[in-house]
Amino acid sequence: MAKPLEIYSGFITRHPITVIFIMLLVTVYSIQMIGTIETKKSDTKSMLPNDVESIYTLNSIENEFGSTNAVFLAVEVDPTYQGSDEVRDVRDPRALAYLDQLSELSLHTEKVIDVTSATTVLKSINNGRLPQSEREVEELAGKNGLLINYISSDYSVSLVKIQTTDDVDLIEIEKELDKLIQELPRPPGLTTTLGGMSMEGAVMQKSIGPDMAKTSTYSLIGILIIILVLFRSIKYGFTPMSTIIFGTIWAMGFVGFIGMGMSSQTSGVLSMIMGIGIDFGIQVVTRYRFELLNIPALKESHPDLDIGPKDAMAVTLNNVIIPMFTTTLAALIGFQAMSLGKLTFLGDMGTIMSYGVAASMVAAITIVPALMIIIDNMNISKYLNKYMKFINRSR
Amino acid sequence: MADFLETNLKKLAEIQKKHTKVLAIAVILITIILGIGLKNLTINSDFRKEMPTDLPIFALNDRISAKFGGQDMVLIAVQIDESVDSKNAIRDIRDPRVIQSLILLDQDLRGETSVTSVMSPASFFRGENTPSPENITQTIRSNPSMNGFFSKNYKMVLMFVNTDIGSGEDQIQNFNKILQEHIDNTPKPTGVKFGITGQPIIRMTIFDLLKSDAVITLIVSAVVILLLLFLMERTYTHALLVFAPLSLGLIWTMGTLGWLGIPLSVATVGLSSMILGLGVEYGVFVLTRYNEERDKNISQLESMKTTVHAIGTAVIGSGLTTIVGFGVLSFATIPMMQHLGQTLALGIAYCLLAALFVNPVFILLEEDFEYWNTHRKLEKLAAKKEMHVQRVR
Repeated sequence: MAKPLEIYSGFITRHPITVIFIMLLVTVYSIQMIGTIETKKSDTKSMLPNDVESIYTLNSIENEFGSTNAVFLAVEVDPTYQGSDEVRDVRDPRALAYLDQLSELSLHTEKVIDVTSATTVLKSINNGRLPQSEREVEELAGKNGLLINYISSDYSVSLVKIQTTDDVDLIEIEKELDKLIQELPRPPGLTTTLGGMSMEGAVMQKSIGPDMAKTSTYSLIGILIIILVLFRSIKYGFTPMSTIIFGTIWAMGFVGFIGMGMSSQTSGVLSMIMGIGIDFGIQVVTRYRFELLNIPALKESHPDLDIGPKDAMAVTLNNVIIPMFTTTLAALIGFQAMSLGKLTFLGDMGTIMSYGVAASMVAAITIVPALMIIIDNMNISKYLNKYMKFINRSR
Repeated sequence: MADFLETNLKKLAEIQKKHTKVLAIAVILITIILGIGLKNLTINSDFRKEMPTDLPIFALNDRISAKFGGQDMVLIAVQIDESVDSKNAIRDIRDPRVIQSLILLDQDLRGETSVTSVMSPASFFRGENTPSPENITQTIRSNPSMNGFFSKNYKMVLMFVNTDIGSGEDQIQNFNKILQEHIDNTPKPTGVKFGITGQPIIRMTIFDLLKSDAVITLIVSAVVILLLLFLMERTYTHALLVFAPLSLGLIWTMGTLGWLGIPLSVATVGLSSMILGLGVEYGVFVLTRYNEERDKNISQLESMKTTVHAIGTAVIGSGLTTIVGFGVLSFATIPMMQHLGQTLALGIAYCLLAALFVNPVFILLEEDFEYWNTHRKLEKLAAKKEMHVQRVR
């Protein structure tokens, strides 16, 4: 095993610029691919196993009764003033007229296939006519038990149930129905809100982007603080950061490349990949610094040898690659085991994290050593002197 | 910080060398104390608790569920069984024989104390003891609103059972048993099958799956990781030296969850496999570095000092960054992610502690045992040789 490792470490230490160039090309392509990542609605149903009886029955019901993309408009009694003329019972004729208009207009919204409400039920049992008093509603309710699906027992809430097509964009329909709620004149004392289980998915879908941005920023800042404190050096502090910067770009680029998409369950992966991926960078840099400290003693004992940062890095790579490989494999096993259960809520998360950890490991044994060698072989004082001379001349 | 760490880590290595056995006993005691918490570890199957219920849409849906009884609603689906090939088999779910069956089930279920209401086509025949098939057909025709219970192709009919069984797993399990008994006792025509579903039943199913999933993922990941360690370390003892502290870290994590009353949920069911997968890193680095030093013929103490201070700094840095990476998930909107991040951060913290405090102790103990064992064997062989020489003489 030592031979291939030595060949590899020899290549990296001799051709750091070539390594950086190749990896930058991969990075550019990955960035392009990141642009193709789409956010997707979290579908709880798809995460449940179909071979369990209760879930099989649920799926059969949904197959037989059509789309499960049901949303509803909840019309609630919410009077502002005591003793006012505001609606206090959803059976109030003004509320019923409003519910009827809501039902009619919702039906004309794109991707809506069916709308049912208290008024559609009442009209079906009252010759197409809306009842004109609460008492009349009560009498009709006695004839039909279905009304309790639309009017709550305390008469404070009424539902307009809207069934949509399977391919509906819930964010779009939310916009359309919100517009309808805003534009349709509402009797005083009523509030209308859009609800339904599928809308929960849409709301969570909207939070994926901001959540990822927030958690990954906090993660990046936290990690940077820890390694700057740990290494007490800008150079050695920032270099391991390249592991997670490149690692996450490559991993997310791969997610885009295979068209996997991001859901609310996978929204935390970036910060987690950063937290795990930085370990590889830290291991390489710590060992490298340790080997650098040994150079003066080695030079003293072997004055004829030309030992430098390249040799320190070669020793580092020879010694850290196998443990890093072992830990990467173990991490991948841990992540993949998450998909082995019947509930696969976090299966996608495990898969993306596997990509992230593998990519971070690759970054740690390519970008990090190449960068360290370039930086350590660069004569910074020479460049600084040149810069100062240039400044003085221009004055 | 680095100087402080280096000085104290070297001191730690000295203590570990000097008081190896005392530390090993301390580790066992800590494991027993935290391990007791394992028996308090519970499972939460309520998926709702992992959702951001403080968001307006979730609050509204919960309010509506409370008003319309959606959360405790159980659905009984009566479906045509296509596999039955009989002349008498039901081919249209509106068949009076199916409705009669539903009427009997409706009467039975309404007698149950935990059932608050039952809705199905049978609701239209309440008060009639045994409606005739003609009467049933006539009622279905004259009540178009009954169509809501039938699927469009008339292959399925639904019965909605509202209950007040609450969220306790035992209550749900008992109710499911009662419901199944009622269904079993209801006379059914040939060619139909009954299925039960709904939020409480699915919650119970998730509860059972969570239990089996937690065990499966733990066993699979533990076995595969152990095999990997055997392969990479090439000796059983070295593989176990990495794996044992890791297992302790896992026991401590689960025990702490039990002590704190934090249940395992859909978010944390895969926790053990992730902790094993991630925590293995620290032990591997500690053992590899120690062996590297020992291979140079450096003494136990000096090797441990170099290992603990050189690897310790890196391992603490790695562990802390991983904890930060997981911990920041506390800022996520979805509680599922928050719980996952927090429990993983706890798990990694314990694995880190196990690698720094337990791993060196185990390594030293193993080496001492190996030395003692080899010495004992050598003494035995020497005695045997002496005996042999004396006999020959």
